[in-house]
Amino acid sequence: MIRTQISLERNDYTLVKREAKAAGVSVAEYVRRAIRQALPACSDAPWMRYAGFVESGNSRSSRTIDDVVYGTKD
Amino acid sequence: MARRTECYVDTSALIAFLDRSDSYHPLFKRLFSDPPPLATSALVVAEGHGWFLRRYDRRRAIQFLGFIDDLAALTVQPFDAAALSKSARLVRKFADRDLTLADAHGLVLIGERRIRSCWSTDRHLGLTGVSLVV
Repeated sequence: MIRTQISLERNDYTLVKREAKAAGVSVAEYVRRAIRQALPACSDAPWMRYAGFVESGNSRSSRTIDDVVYGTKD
Repeated sequence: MARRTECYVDTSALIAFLDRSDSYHPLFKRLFSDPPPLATSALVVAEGHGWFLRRYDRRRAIQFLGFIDDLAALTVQPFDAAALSKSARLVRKFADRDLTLADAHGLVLIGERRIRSCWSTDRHLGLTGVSLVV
């Protein structure tokens, strides 16, 4: 882990602090996650060839797995 | 260099990575590109395989199993009689929720392995206080 220092606008800092608290993580962890999300994926690992190998057209597909696997209730 | 701590992966994280239409796809593509040690339940693999079988076809379901084989950072934990007993206890404890056995086994593993972070888009996995990446 590399230790570094960043400067934030006061308003951004207030928002980050509030969102981190809501997510139950530290400000540092929240910022690390935001950076991970923003950075492009760059890997030639063998499993990465499967990334996005299907295109369901459903932006909520990962949140509707139970409906597909177990079926919906009548 | 700090040791990277183990994360739990549930079916939703796997599907978000594999389905480019999912709104969380960019996040999980980034996370899986350089993963820490990952743990999951055999039931999660069964759910993922079932998802591809129901949503697509056998060929894609088998490709999903190939992905699991290739994902070197992932340890798949067996679902045996002891795991069933512990998971069933959790299902009864959270009887007011639609908690699947796969979710419950995930919560058992998170507790037993002292995992603090969970790759999931499913809020059920946050029931016992583990931190979700979304």
